[in-house]
Amino acid sequence: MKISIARMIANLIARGRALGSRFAWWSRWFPHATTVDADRFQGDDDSYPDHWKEFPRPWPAGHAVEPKALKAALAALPDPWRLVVILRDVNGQSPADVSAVTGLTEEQQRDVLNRAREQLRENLDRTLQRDKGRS
Amino acid sequence: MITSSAATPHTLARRLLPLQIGVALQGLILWVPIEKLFMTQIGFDAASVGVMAAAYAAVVPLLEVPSGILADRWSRSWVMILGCVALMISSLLGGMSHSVIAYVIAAMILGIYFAFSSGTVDSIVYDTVVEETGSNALYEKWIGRTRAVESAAFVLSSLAGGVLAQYTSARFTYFVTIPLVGLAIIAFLRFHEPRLHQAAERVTLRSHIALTFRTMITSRTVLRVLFLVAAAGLLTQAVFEFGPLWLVEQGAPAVLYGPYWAVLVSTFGIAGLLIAKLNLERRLMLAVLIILSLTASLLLTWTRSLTVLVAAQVVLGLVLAIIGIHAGRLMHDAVPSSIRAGVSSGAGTMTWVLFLPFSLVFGWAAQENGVHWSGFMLAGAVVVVGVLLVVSVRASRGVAPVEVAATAKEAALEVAESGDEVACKQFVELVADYLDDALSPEMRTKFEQHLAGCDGCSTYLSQTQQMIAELRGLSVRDAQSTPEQTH
Repeated sequence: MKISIARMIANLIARGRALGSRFAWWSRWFPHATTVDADRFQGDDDSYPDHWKEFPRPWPAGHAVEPKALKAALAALPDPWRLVVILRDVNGQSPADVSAVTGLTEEQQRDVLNRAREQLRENLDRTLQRDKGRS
Repeated sequence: MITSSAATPHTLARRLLPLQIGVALQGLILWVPIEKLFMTQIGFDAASVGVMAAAYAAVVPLLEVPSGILADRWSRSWVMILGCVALMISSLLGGMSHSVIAYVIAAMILGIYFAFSSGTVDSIVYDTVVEETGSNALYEKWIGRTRAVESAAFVLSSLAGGVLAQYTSARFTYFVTIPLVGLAIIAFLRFHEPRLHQAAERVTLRSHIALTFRTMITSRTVLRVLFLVAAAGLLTQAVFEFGPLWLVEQGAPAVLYGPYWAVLVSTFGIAGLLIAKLNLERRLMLAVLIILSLTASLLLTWTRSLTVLVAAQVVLGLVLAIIGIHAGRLMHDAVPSSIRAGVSSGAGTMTWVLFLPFSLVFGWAAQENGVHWSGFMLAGAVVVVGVLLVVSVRASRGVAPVEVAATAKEAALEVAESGDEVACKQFVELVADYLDDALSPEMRTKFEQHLAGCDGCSTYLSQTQQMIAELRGLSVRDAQSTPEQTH
């Protein structure tokens, strides 16, 4: 009994520390900002919770992403996100370089990168599906 | 962000100097302190003042967003200059008017000036800072300084205008304003405008307007920040508009109003200087600001002491100005440069739209129960601003130099670690870690197992990889877009 309580407290402290150092304490009151819109996944009552409701549509084979569409998608990113994408994906710089420029930790710049890439992919997807519908 | 930007403030300061001179000259509207006096001289009564306010309130929100879009598509400096021209015409007509109708027309032209200048200056400052330093880190400092200059000009003009009117005539203050604004135009012409907003590819006017409105309406982040900016603006406007009512109710002596007004206006400038020293990403700082403003607004409902009243209003004005600047930054962080002034003006429109019913209810409540009671409306609005601020700062997905808001990745990792397998919802959070080879070995195995068995996620990953390959093919110039596309 004593041991389990002690372990519980130790766990709580460890968790609290991990959380406390990174987030504001109120962050647990709100849903996290997800990379992909949470509505695209099945809910807890559906047959496969957390799986895609509808799979991402495949892009037409052999259909290259046009630089023009890519540039337009980049322009629609918030400025700080675009900076991270340019450093990492266009220049091909390392996470450490990005940290040096932005002051973000490597972990943080990866979070930003993941979400910025998804926004770009989503944007390209819309363009490609629209073009497919036209031709 | 801090390291890279520290090297260039000298060029940045030099570049922003003409803008600040222009803003200062434009703020020297000498007739402001004697306007009400002049209006009664030419035959205004309470009812016609109301009509003028309504005419004015109709012009500004109607023109806000169109003028912002114009600034984004054409030139922000020139939109400022057009605003100056409207101010000159308005001062000329106002000074020449001998009737209520003529003055109302002058006031509507003044509305054009307000619509053209609101949201434009902060967009210019934001883009100049980004263009010069490559980051947004110094935005608050520089918009703060600009606000400080502007409010110093306001204070100066309200003191000088009163003195000038005493020794010459009220009409004269209108005419003297015109050459000062003319000098502001010269300053704006000397300003080397940032071209970030034109770096993106030219689109048709229709799709530009559509993009501006779509960004404001469909993105939840942008919408929330817009509400925050509008709510903070509403409260500020309420303090300035209704603040004097408390003094009236307490029977404050007339001589007090001048200094009271000067102190209230100077909170803008003080906030502008303070903001560089404060870190609003910190939860403690946020808590202090919210508690201060809540206490101040509750004091207004309760105290009968004139000193406490004025102090509470000054504190409220100061905190709101600080929150307003930070909210503005959150808004600019969330939108791309090509539609910046348009969205920023949208926030201005929202302020007006919210202020109209607010002021009607406020006035009615003050009439029925006394102005102390309607102080609760201020407190209520402070609570709304506080909640929006906390949520927005937490969710600000912009790259904050110190802390990045909590992300879904932490939660996804926790779920994935506790279960046997990764589900699609967690998979998408871990893609960047996978590609950077930053996952733990067990997590990597789980990730790859899911990938092998899920068509949706393999499509997702291959699309992301294809896109990254295409990004590598772009040059940096392409990615930031070249100036030759602009024309």
